[in-house]
Amino acid sequence: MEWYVISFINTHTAMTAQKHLKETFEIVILPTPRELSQGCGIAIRIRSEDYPAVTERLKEVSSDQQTYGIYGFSNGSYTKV
Amino acid sequence: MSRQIDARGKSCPIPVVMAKKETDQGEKQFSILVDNKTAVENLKRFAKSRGYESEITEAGADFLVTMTDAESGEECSLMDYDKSWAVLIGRDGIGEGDPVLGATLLKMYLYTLCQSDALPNYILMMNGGVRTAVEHEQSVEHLKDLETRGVSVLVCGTCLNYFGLEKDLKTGTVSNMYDIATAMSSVDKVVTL
Repeated sequence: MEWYVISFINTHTAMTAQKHLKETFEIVILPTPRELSQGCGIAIRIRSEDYPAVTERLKEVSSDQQTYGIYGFSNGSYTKV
Repeated sequence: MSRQIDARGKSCPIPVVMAKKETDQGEKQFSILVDNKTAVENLKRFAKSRGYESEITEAGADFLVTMTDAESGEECSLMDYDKSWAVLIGRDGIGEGDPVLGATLLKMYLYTLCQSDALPNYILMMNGGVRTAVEHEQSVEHLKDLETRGVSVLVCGTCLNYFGLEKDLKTGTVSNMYDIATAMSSVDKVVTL
C-alpha cells in the first residue's frame, strides 16, 4: 500500500483519534476522499509503515472498532482493510 | 520574430493580464519578459489553461516566457484565468465555533487546495491567521507546496511581531499592509476564511 486513510463514524471520533495519533505519528488531516462514501468529513492519512502501530494505538483509544474504517491506497484506488 | 512584451517590474497578476490580451487577440506566438519566478509560474499555468505551450529561457536575471498556440486547441475547463483570486486567513482556523475544529478544517482546506489546479494568486495571513505559517506543520507543508506552484503567500509582519513569532516563520514572505491591500485590490475576488 502507498498509504492508508482512516475514516470515522462521526466528527468527534475523528478529532479524538487525531489528538492521540499526532503525538506519535506523522499524519495528514484531509477531507474524507469521495470514493469512501461512508463516514464523516474528516479523515486521517497515515504512512504505510506506521499501519501496524496505528491500529494498535486506535484499539487503545477507541473501545469500539465499529467507529472507524481503514482503507489502503494503491494503484489509484482504495481497498477496505 | 514573434511579438515580445516587456512585463519586467510588473507585479502579479499584470504579466498574466498582458498575456491574456495577446491570446484574446488570437496571437499564435508571443514572448513575455518577466523578472521573477512567480510571474513565470503564473504564465506557465495560464499558457496551459489556454492550450498554449510555454518555453522558458533565462535572460540574465530575467526570464523570457515564449507561448505558442498548440494545434490541438484543447481548453482546460478547470482553470478560469479570467478570475484571479486571493484567500485571506484572518484567524487561526476556519470560522468560529470550536477552535480545534477550526484548525482541523483549515488543514483540510489547504490539503484540498493543493490537490486542485485552480489555485489562488495569493494567500494572505493576518492576525491569528499568521500562526498557519508558523505552528501547524501540515499547513506549513501545504503552503510550501502552493508557493512552489506560483501562489504568493504574504504574511503580515505587524501580526508576527505582535505575537512574537517573527523568528519562527516557516514559509511565506513577511509582508506589510501596503502589499496585502494591493494584493486584495488587484484580484477579482478575495475569499475570507
